[in-house]
Amino acid sequence: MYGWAGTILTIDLSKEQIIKEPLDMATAEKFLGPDGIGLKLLWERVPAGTPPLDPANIICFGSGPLTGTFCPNSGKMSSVFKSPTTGLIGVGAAGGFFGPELKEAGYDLLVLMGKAKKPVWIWIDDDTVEIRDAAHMWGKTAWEAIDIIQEEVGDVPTITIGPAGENQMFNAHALIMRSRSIGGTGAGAVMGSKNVKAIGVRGTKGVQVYRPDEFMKKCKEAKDKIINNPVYASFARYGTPGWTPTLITQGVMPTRNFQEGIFPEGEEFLDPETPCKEIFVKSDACESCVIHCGHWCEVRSGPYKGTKTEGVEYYAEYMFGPYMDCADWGFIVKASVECNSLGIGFGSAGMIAWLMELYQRGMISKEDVDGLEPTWGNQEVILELLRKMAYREGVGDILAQGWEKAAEKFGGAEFQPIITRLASTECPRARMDVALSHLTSVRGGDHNKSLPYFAWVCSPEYIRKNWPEWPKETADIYSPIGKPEIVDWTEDWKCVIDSLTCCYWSTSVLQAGGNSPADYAELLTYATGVEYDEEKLMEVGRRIAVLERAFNVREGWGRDVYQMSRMFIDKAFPRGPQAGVKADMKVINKMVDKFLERKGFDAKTGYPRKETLEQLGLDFAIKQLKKQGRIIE
Amino acid sequence: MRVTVQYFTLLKRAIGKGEESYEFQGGARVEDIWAKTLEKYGTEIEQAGYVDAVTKEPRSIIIAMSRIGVVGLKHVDLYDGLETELKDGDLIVMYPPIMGG
Repeated sequence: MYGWAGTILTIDLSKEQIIKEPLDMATAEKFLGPDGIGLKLLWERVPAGTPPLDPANIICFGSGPLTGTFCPNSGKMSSVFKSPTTGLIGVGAAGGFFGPELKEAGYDLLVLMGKAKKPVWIWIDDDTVEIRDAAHMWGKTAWEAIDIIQEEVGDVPTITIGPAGENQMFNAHALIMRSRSIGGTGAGAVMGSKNVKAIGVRGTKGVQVYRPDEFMKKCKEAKDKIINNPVYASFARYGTPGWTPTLITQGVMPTRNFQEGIFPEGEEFLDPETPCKEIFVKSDACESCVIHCGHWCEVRSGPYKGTKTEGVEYYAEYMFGPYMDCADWGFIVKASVECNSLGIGFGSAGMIAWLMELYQRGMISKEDVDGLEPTWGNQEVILELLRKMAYREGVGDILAQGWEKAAEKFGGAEFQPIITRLASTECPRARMDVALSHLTSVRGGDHNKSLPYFAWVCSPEYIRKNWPEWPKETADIYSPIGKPEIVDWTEDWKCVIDSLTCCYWSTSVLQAGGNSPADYAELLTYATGVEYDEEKLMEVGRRIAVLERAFNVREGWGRDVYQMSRMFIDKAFPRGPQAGVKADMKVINKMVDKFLERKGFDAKTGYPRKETLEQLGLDFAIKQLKKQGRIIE
Repeated sequence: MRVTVQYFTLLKRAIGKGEESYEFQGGARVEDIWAKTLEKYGTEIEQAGYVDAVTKEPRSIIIAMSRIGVVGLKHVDLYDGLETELKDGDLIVMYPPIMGG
């Protein structure tokens, strides 16, 4: 076996069975890695309509055929499950070292099914797989659980959940090692629902490649493309906080629950040099990464002095910064540590900003928040509300049930930044690339599935040169023209990258001259012995993207799932470069229609066309959707 | 005519400041801003790799413009590139590309 490890490891928690099955090579060739293979398993093994926290849901973790090799930036992992946060497909990718270690233990995919009778943790030591008692870990934070695992088996990569996952908070995350996560769509809640506190892995087998000489030569070329690229120096110094100048100058820095798009009071805080000076200690990288965008961080002064962590990045910066009216890197580190330890996705923190806006508007009182005063920038209250959510205490219990339940209790749904069932991470009012990619994202409205970053980062000339068939307005992020084309392509490519479990930051969509689909096809061919070219690789991406969307249709979500919060439609930023602009749903819906038709789905119903599924060899999906009457023949 | 220029991240480090303004009597283009940048900081930004050694044109940096009455910040390539005629109140932004999210 080359490239792939060759085995799917399934753990039936209800029956306490460990099942090792050979990876079907025809499936591997067509679906590549966890994003695709896991998705197919989810489709086959989980009956339509299964509640996400039911034992019948499964959760898959794994890595792709380049992971564990010398291919640069190939050391990530992906996860697939039905999401308790949205009811849609739950997919997510994470860095760290777990994915490569699982692969080197001999497994392409780990599938958890059923529900353990009591809390357990899974220990994988190459061929030895054990379901171990986790009574001594249950109730502990994720970081405490990691300490216990390290005492028991040594310093190994882990996936853990904190109290938020144990208590099935609607979007609890699965923590990868101490600071990476499968976040946003509730992977931690699904693990909690199965009574699985943690997974630890040690792998020593390595990965075989088919044509090692050509592969190593290509790996070197791929590495050179990354480190000789203009993006490299910025990424290496700043990590993702380097992104803030773009948002500041575009006037879309999410501030006080999207009420503002600029944050002049935090000018120094948002300067990417500030964390370099204040909290960064040294660079840090995932396995096989040549960019090292991560940093080890330590708070050197103030109330959080001494707090340390790895991996503070842009999402934490804005969520616990302008979004809640804070401008304090010490607090960003502290809040990141709390979230990771409690097992809370940073997105949940957005609920606190929403609560703050309701308080600002007089729609709730202190009594509604257990006597706490949720004023903007109140760090003490933010930390206490995070804790309450994780342990489901008082108001935290309401918030832990999700956005809809919280709005039922407090009102104010019109101030929730929801796009397609997920809290948005970017502002869709003026930027058409954001509006379309968020609205049509299969995991809900965030940047993870199809935001075409390259429309901004690469020059318009680069886009015109490489995609001459797209309209010339494609590179203009404020124009609706060309957005269905670029979002459609990006979604397919992101599915490839997530299934290869390579780092999105190292590919050509982010860097003019970076590694392209053709480069990855060559790497894959040398690694696996299976011939790939650009066209075949992009078809794999399309197959996964179409099946993900078809999964959502199977679960009952049609065209009407693509909805945007009234806060973006009725309200505009009062100041800054995008002042006065509201989301124009007439224009945006036309883009959605065009996108769906390009993807091979009916714009009116949102259902897939039979020929779309046929062309991609997804006959099993046709059969199921026909039964449900959710296919266009 | 007054035009503001902002530099960010590694370009700001190379130049040593984040913002400055220029006054022009009569018309001016984005290339005039670039010429002034080269005149004042040529050595520093050339060493940092942001100037094409042959053409002396900008290399590996985003140059974008925010203009009164136009929504958002746009690449100058979406206007007329370096030949874009400037207007009073224009904001020119320069920085090496980087992503996040």
